[in-house]
Amino acid sequence: VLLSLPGPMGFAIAKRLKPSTPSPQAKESPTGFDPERSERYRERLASDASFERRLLRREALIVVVIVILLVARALAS
Amino acid sequence: MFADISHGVLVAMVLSGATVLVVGCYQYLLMSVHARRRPYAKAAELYPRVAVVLPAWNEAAVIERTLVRLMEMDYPRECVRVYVVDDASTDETPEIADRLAARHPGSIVNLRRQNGGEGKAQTINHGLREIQREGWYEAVLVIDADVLLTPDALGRMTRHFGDETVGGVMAYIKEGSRPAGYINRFISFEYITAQAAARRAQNVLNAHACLAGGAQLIRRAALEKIGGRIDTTTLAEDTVTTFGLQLAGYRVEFEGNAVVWAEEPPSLAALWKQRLRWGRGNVQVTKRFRRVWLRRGSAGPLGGVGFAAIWFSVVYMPLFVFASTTGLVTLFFIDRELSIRAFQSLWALTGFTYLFVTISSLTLDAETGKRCWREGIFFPGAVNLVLIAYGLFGVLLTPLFAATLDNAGLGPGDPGSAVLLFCADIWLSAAILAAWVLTRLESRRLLGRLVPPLLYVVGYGPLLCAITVAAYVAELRGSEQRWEKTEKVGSIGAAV
Repeated sequence: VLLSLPGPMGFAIAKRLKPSTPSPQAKESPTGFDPERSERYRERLASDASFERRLLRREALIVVVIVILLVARALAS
Repeated sequence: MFADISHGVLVAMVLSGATVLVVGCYQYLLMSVHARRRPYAKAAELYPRVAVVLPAWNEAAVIERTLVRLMEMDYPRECVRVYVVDDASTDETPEIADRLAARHPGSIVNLRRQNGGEGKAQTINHGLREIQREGWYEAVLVIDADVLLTPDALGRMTRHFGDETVGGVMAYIKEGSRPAGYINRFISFEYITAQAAARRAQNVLNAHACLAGGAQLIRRAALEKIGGRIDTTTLAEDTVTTFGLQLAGYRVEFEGNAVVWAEEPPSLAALWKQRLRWGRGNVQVTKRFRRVWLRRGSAGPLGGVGFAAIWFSVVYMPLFVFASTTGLVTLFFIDRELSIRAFQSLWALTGFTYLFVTISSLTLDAETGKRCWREGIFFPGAVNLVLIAYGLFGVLLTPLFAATLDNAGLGPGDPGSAVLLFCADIWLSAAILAAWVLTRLESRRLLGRLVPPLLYVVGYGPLLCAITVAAYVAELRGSEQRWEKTEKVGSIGAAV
């Protein structure tokens, strides 16, 4: 959301906005609200959040494999 | 009783050799719960006015492409203004900056310093003074002249400013040289561990060591709160900025999905020069912020035990290695049997942590992993891999090969086995010396050709350890503190 208000004041308003919701200021700004960019923003957010969620499953799988190796070695020795 | 205690201390010293990898595992475990802290809970679609400060000194080979990329970002054009701070370049940098400024009026500004040479930090401060005088900006992005942002990188970074406690955001810097030489591939793997993994872990701890100077985004209010300028007294100005922001009450966020490409050193000599600067900077920061460590009450998350473990496992890495070797050698002479068991335990511990860290790294960034999997495997060096294999499987395999070892004069009690064990005991430290020797051989015409394969034998990890040792030596000797620029030749591949 492009805010035409100066400096940190613009931020202060922007942070209260919900994601992807164009503010009145944005609609009136020189840039205007760009629905295509907003759509891309939402897609990236969903994709990035999904990537971060997959990390836990992947690491858990690796830990399980390593622990099995560890136990196998301990039993074999 | 005394013997038990002294033996216990020696075994602990031996096991301290695996500290870096054990802490590495800790970071990967933290990373795995990164999603649980909901990194995008307060993210918002924000496009604040960003002043890009781009310090440049003789960057003709790279700067045009960087500027063109900045103008092609998926970000409202009128919300980006690039300030090229030309530090009195003597090549075509000013002409290129002027030409692009004319092509993009109002979007690219060339701030030429007639009297330069004061270093990167002073150059950045010159740009910061200018943008603060204009007052247009809501956030500042400091990037290196060779850094190429992916089109969506800035938007991915600014979304974190939806959380007003976030003062700074850093991107994931990836090595982009194409064709990538062997050093570049080692660096590629190193950056998966040191950035993609370690910085996610630091997100979880809410404590960051460094907003990487190559691409750091700082909120205006946060910059103003730390004085509106960056530190010029150390060689780690980006780390000092990062600590300053956090001690001022702001959070710093790593955005691992915002990718920027950088050209990293292609040779051991260039790498040594760059990392020596980083290493000395870390030693300086350790001293400067001595009242932060392990003082969670006054320093917040920066003073936490977890962050201290991460920081000191790197800064004190050579001490752990030397302590481990000292423990092994002492045990070798006073209790050979215990020495062998401690040795096996050290390498078994190293082996499991190595497996975990390496597999995790190669899967975390599979695209980079495809290019540098060999360097990932050989990161500790071929000799250390043999010792890891011994630690993991030696207990199982030694009985199977007992007859062969006896025939080779390496059976229990043979002098040969004692010599072999002693060599293995001292290798952890000897590898550091060997890595340093390789950097000296690189410039030799014939021997220099052996350096690449020998680095795979000695290992990139020991090389980093050697540089840390050199950083301590330089600081103790009070060597001149110079900002030595890493040469950039524009080797980042067209496809990135």
